[in-house]
Amino acid sequence: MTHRLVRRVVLVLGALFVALVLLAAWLRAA
Amino acid sequence: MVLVLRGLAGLILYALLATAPALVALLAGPAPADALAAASSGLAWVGLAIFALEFLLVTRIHMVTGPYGQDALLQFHREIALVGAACVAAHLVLVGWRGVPPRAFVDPFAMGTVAFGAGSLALWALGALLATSLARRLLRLSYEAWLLLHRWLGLALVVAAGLHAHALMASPTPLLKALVLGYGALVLLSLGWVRVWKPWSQARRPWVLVDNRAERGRARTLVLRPLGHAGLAFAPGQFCWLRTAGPWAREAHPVSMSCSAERAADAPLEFTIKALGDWSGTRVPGLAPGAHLWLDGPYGVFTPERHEGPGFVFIGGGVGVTPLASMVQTLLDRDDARPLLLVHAANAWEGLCLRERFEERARRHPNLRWVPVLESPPADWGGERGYVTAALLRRYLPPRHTSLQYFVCGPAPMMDAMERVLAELGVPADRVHTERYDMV
Repeated sequence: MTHRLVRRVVLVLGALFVALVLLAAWLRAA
Repeated sequence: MVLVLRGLAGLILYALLATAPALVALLAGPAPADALAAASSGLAWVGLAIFALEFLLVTRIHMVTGPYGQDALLQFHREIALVGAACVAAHLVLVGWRGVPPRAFVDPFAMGTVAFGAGSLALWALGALLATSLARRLLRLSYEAWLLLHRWLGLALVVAAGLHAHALMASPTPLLKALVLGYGALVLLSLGWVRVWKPWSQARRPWVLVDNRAERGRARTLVLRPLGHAGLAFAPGQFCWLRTAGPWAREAHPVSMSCSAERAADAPLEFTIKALGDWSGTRVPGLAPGAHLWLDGPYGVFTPERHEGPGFVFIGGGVGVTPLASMVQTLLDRDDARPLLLVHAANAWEGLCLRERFEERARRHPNLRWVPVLESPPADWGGERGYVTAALLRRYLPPRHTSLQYFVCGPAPMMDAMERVLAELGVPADRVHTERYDMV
């Protein structure tokens, strides 16, 4: 795997984690 | 195909493991005060899970490393840690917003509670981890000292952050409790695997040094023979973790095999090592024939065996040429008739590591083209000079060069440049394979 591919995977995963947590937080507080 | 599926499955499993505690705490735990409090604790849980999983990523368990390769996994380990740190930073901003004073972050005794004390210690450990890993050279920290610090700071971070989370859970659900215990067990098992099981199994399989010769470019080749065991078979381009101070020694060094893989498992193994630091610069040259060494491996997916094509292009810089040397020699020893192009960059003609091997192979095998590229060539040099560029590669690549497989290994700036240059030449990203060895 190239350096750039790994970086993209990390960015996608990071964004996914944050989005999931914010969604769960919003659902929970609503 | 199976490997791609395993790789994808691994990523999905990772995403589940990284978010499970946060989702369980938020959705199944006691109701948070408001959305900000929920987001704050959720982000902190993601950060903690990411840091706990970091231990698993560096265990060198084949099931974990298999689909990705060790260097991609180490890059992931390094960069996902920044995601974890960003989650922790967002958690700090949100708890600060909710009225926790900044001195509670820096002074473990400011609030007089275990929860705040452990949280503050975890922050100190995280800060030290980031500083020593991102600026190791600036801090003039040797690799060996950094490794030792990294292990202890990492452990301190997860223990303190785990305590912080535990102390703050007013009424944890059984599922969350089980998850926290599970992650703790995962960290312990990962440590046990690396620190106990691996050294113990290596201690029973020592190797003896039969030759230690100087190579061009301040490098040395160590030749090892198995001592009382069957040795090992490897794929060209793979590497082993080498220990010279005993199987239980703290430090192990990743080194590529530089010999042909077309050999009996108990035949001698060759490793070519450049003098770059304390170990490679002083310990390796001082190793005398008869010395015992211990190997963990082989590892790595940087090998033509995983990426078949109508021909191969190898681009190596400095000592990065060693895994490529193994690939070229193996393919030629197998009477592979496919075209092989080796672009070999170095500072000077005298510093071209393993030069004689390539000269001799290129003379005997018409399908190998060896192109040395010198940064500071001698006055009468008629070959390539400067850096490896798209224009230089175009001079040697065949017309249908986009279907070939490309293997690149060298210093980080060269690797970045080559990824750009090959994209510029229209080579699809899935045909470019790289191995980085100077990550911190």
